[in-house]
Order: sequence, then structure tokens, then C-alpha cells
Amino acid sequence: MSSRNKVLVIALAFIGVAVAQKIFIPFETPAVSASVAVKPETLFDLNGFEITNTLLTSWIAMLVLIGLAVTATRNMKLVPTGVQNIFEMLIEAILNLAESVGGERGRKFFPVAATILLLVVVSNLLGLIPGFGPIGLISLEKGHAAPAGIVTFDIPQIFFVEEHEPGAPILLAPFVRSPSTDINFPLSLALISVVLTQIFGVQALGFFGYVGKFINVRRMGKFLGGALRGKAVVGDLMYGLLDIFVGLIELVSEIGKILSFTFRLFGNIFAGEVVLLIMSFLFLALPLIFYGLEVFVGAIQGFVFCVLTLAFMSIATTPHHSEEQH
Amino acid sequence: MDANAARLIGAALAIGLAAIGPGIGIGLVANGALQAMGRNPEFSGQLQTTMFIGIVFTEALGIFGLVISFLIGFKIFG
Amino acid sequence: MENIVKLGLNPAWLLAQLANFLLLFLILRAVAFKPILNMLDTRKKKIQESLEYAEKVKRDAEAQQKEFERKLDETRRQNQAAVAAAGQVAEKEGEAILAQARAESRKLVEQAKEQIEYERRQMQAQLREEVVRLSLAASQKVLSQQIDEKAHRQLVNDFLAQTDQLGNRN
Repeated sequence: MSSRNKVLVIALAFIGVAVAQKIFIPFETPAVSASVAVKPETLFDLNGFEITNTLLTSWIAMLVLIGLAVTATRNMKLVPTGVQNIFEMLIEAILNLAESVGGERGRKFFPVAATILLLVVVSNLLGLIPGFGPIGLISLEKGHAAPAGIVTFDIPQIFFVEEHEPGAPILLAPFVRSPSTDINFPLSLALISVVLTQIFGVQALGFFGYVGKFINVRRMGKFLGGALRGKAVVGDLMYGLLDIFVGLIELVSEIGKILSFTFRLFGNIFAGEVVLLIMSFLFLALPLIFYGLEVFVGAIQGFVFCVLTLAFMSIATTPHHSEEQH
Repeated sequence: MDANAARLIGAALAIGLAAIGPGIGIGLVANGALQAMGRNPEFSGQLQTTMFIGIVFTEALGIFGLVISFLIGFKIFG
Repeated sequence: MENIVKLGLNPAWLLAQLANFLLLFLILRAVAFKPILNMLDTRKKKIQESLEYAEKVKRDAEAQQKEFERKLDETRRQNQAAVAAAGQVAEKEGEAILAQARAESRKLVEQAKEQIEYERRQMQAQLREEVVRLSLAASQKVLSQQIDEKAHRQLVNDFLAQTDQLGNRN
């Protein structure tokens, strides 16, 4: 059976199920709201630990990646074929990227950057697989209005099994939802990226060399020493204050990096989900344009996260310029 | 004007105003990068990476506005 | 704080994602990155080695080619030298033969000249004898009374000596 016929059969099966449901479920079914919530939906509750759909998706992404890696490296040959070839090309491309951004230290940064890139790209794309969106749990929030942070749209529902309270909103929580739309995922990546950057910086420059970037009191000390000996130089005071101020800005920018990493990934992918949901009310194949855009954005965001991590690590491990000049 | 209307206007303004600067900025980045690539195409790979980094830094501002817009619009803040 | 919770931030989920990442990182590093990097390095080294080997083979071939050409050149030069030497020898021999022939012919000519000279002298002497005899006879007939034979002969011989001097001067 050709793939085109397969698609046709699957589509017919869906339509058949919908028709059968209309026939065999006689009661009036309520409209189900497709939703994009800021907060990920809980699927199961394991002794107080709620397993969310984003967590599930990140596990699937991990499984996909590990499966791919194991398949690629199970029996490695000097002349690669098949999966090994593709995976090696991918890894080599990331390695080249790491070496072009990080120079000779690129190899050290490579594993974490590659993991970030692969995980973000795979999990972003997993959330975009057509058909995963509408397959999910229908949660009934009996007697409650839609919780905050939810955009809802009424969609024609296909599967409906649960009893419901009339008038209560029924929300479709998909099993698979892109982890980047859950703020915890980008935040964890950002934390790892920034913390590792600090660790690499300390490793490369030594503790005082690295911390000296943020707390730079050398010229201030020169001024104070001069003042004690009765020869206060105003220029030293000015530059000392400037150094301290610049150090503070650097410190703040490290925290800003976490925020910008987090909200860049979260904002891009979450906005993409909202856009896709809204655009799905356009007619015919017009939403496909936005779908393609989101695929592109999902891949680019992974690339960007990786490149920025590499760039920050590279900057953090390079000695400070003012130390070289004096 | 009731509170809801003000909230929606605020959300729309947040993203609308936040999109102006990055829009111009990304245009400038791409302009510079394309000119540089046109002048010495042998460096276009390196330039592309740097261009992406520049675009991303610029775009982050717009994304912040978008996130703020969502936060306001979804009644998360305020 | 409430707002952050509304945003979906949750320490448990955050920790879960961190753990996920670390797990994935460790597994990928063990399963994928290290073997693949090793493989890439091995391949690079192998390719470099084969390239170097190819280069060496090429160099060897070039050296052999050069050696061969050098030998060819040498042989050619030797051949040329031999040919040139042979030509010189032939020329020398030819010259020697020519010189010999010339010398012989000169000798022959000289011999012939000597012969001729000799014969001419002979004939001169004979002619002189004849002239003396004839003039003696004639003058005897004419002057038999006035001059005796002895004085006459003296006279003729003087005359002849004078003519000889004249002839030799020519």
C-alpha cells in the first residue's frame, strides 16, 4: 500500500468514527474548547507529584534522542551508513559550530551545547506533530470558570466520552505539548547554561580572575592607597567608580541572561502555539503557512539557544580586556 | 472604560509597541549582514552565525513585550 | 508569588526538567558524543594517514620518474658522445688518408718534375755538344786558314760560357 493510500485510509477512518459517534451517541454533546494555557496541564498525579503533558513530552523527546543515538552508535563503522551517517553529520555540524564560536575551547563546550540543541529542537518539533494536539484528556472543571492564563476556542469535537456538567467549560489538554510552552523547561535549560558558563569561567580564569570581572576594585584601591599617602588622583576615583559600576552591570546581565534565555524560548514557542490555534480558523490550507513558520522557528530557537550558550561560554572563558592592557 | 477593556488595550499596546524597535533593529542587522556578505561572500558562514546572534538579541526585546502582553492578557499579572 | 504560580512555575517540575536534562546529557555523552567524536577523530587520522601515504607514493613515483629520466638523459648523452667520437675518428682518418694521398701525389709530381729537369739538363748538354760540334765544323770550313783549331775551340767555348750565363740568368 502506498503512503498516499495509507493517508487516505486514515482520514476515512477518522471521518467514519465521527459519523458513527454522531449516530451512536444520541445525546447532545457540548462543544469542547481547544486551549492554550500558560500552565501545563496535569495528566496524572503520582503521590503528589503531578506529571504534566510537557514533562511527558520531554521524556518522549529524551527517548527519541537516546534511541537515535543508540541506533546510530550500536555498531559503528569507519565508513558510516544509514542512521550512523545522518547522526554523525548532525554531530559534526554541531561540533563545527562549537569550534567556530568557541575556538579551541569549543570541544569542551560541545556536549552541553549539543544536548541543548538536540533536546530543544526535538521537543519543539514533537509538539508540532499534526494530530497530537487534539488527542488528549478532557478535563472537567466542574462549577469553575476557565482558569487564568487560558485562551479558549470552541472546536468541533470528535471524541467525547465523559459525563459533564451542563455549562461547565470542557478543556482539551493534549497528551503531547511542546515543553518549551511550559516555563519550567526553558528555565531549567537557562539555569544549566548560565551556571555552566560560570563554572567554565572559573575553571578557565581561576576563582579570583573570574570574580574580578564582577567586583573590580583594583583602581578604586589604587585611589584609596594614593589618598592615604596624601596624593589623591581624581582620575583614579572616576575610573574606580566606573569599574565598580561596570562590574555591577555585568553581574546583573548574568541574571538577565537567565531571563532572556527563558523568555526567548518560552515566548517564541508559546506565541507560536497561540498563533497556530488562532490561524487554524483560517480557511483551507492557509494555516499551513504558519505551521511551516513554526517548524522553522522551533528549529531556529534550538540553534539560537545553542549558539548563545556557546558564545556566552566563550566570552566567560576569555580573559578580561582591561587586565591585559594594564 | 471597564477594567477588562483597559487590560486588553494594555496587552495589545504591550506587543504592538514592543514590536516597533526590534522590527527596525532586525532590519538593520540583516542589512548590515547582507552588505558584508555581498562584499566578501567567503565569510558568509561566519557572518550568518553572528547575524543570528544579533537578530536573537534584538528579537528578545520583542519577545519580552509579547510575554508581557500574554501575562496581561491572560490575567496573570494585574 | 501567586503570579509566578499562575505562570506555571513549579519547583517540582523545574527540578524534574533539570534532572531530565542532566540524565539526557550524561546518557548522550556516554552513548553518542564520546564514541562519535572518537570515530570522527579516528576517521580524520585515517584519512590524513592515507593522504600522507598517497603523497608519499606520489613522491616516490616522481622520484623514480626523475631517476628514470636522468638515466635516459645520461644514456642519450653517452650515445651522442660515442657518435661524436666515432665521427671525429672517421674524420681524422679521412684527413690522414687525404694527407697521405696529397703527400704521395706531391711526391709523384716532384719526381716527375725532377725527371723532367733531369731530362731537360740532359738535352741541354746534348744540345750544347751538338752546337759546339756543328759550329766547329762550320767555322773550320770557313776559317781553317786564319785560326788554328786550338784557338778556335777556345773562342767557341768562351762564347758558350757567355750564353750559359745569360741562360742561367733567366
